[in-house]
Amino acid sequence: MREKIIIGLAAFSGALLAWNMNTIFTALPDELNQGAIYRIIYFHVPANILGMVGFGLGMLFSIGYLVTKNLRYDALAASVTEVSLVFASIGLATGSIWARIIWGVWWAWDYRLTSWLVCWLIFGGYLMLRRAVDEPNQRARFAAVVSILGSVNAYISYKSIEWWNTQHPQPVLSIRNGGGMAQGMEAPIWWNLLALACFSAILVMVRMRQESFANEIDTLRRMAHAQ
Amino acid sequence: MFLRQVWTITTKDLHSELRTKEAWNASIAFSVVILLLFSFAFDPSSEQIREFSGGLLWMTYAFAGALVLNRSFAREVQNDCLDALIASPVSSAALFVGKALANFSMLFAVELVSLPVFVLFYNVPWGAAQFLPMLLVLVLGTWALTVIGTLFSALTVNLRLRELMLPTLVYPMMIPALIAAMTITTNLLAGSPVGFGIRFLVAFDIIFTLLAVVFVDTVLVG
Amino acid sequence: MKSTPFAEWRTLSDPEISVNRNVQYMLLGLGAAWLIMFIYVVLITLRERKLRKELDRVRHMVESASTDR
Repeated sequence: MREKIIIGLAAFSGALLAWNMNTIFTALPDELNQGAIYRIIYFHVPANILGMVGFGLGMLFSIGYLVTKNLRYDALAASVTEVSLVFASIGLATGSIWARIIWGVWWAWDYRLTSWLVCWLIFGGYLMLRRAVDEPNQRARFAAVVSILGSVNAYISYKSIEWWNTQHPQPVLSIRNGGGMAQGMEAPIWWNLLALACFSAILVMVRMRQESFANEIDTLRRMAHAQ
Repeated sequence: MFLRQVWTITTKDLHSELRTKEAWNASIAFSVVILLLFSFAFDPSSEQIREFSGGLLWMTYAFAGALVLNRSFAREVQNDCLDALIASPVSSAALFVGKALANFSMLFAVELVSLPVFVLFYNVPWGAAQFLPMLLVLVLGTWALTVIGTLFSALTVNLRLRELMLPTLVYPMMIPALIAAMTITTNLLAGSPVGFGIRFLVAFDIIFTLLAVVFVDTVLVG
Repeated sequence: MKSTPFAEWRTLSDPEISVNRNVQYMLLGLGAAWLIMFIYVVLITLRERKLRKELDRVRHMVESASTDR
């Protein structure tokens, strides 16, 4: 069943991604001020949304673990956080390349960029911490605490473009009262978000299965030792 | 009851620290040396120094603080003191708050010693007008460092790779508070309005203190 | 909402931005996004293979140990 869902999602997100790339390159004109480079937004924004939402979900699953002490929640939190970190990396990389053209520098230390880099570091530390602890319950507890504390920073990063006057653009999407884009230009962001969300769902499912493999290996090893 | 337990832990920690003065000496020596080293990196007499004076000061405190905070729970590992503390009727929250208060007073003392050194070395313009606001920033910023440092000291105490994990987790967590404290300090020393920072720092302190008190039991006991 | 820094952005009329470089960096940016996803898929596949191999090995170990007895 899981295999079928994965294959179905993969086909759907692959087709949608291809269609989106087609729209982005052939149907949409260059932006007036920025030229061709603005197309980076179609990956930059969805990837960062997925990263931020993923860190938030990771926090919810971590709370779920702490409440229920069920290790499945911990595996879910770990998988979601790892995949979110990949998307956060995409967001940082694409943003940096865009900034090189538009700002003339690869990086600016404004609040948005800094706080998002801090998030990236914290959740990178989260994954390192998971490797440093062997006992599954202890690992789950420690990781959950880091995830919950770290998501405070994810929220700071989310709000930073409203709280401070950052070099990073203010909200442009219509759901955050931005409305800074023409109708036809905003829609592909959402379509690409959907495609990438399906893709990340596949990654999370694969990661979850790997967690259960690792669990099984652990149990079998312990059995082998007990004999 | 809770307050008395907190007080017991705080005085216990301060007593044992005063007996050896290990962390205290290391921290003071480190902060003075690092202030000295920074003076080679920048020209301390230039006008520019005003622009990063706050940054220098808080970097020094963050690193010097790590020396105090790292040892907070690690010193209880010898002779299984930590297990005894957890088994004692003192609640984890009281243990945490007690240790945080002890760390706070130690770190604050280190800061009070190194602040004059900083003012002296870097020709920082210093007036009576700056004194009280600066004290407020010191208290708020130091409390932020202490809460995060103490919680992660508890979290990493039994970890292999403790020396690696502690800084990789602690410093990124501290960065928002450090940035706020740095900008306020710089603005104060330059005589410009402090702005948004104080509110942010207060909110940061409250949120992380609450989170730490709630989750310290999860970290220590499970 | 505060003023947006849109006005401070460079525009295509800025002589330093050539249309050519603009397109190159667009491709670089989108390429980076695809590359990172590709690398992660490779990493996750390698880990899957390693885990399956390890699982087989440990299963085998447990089975042979229990039949010995």
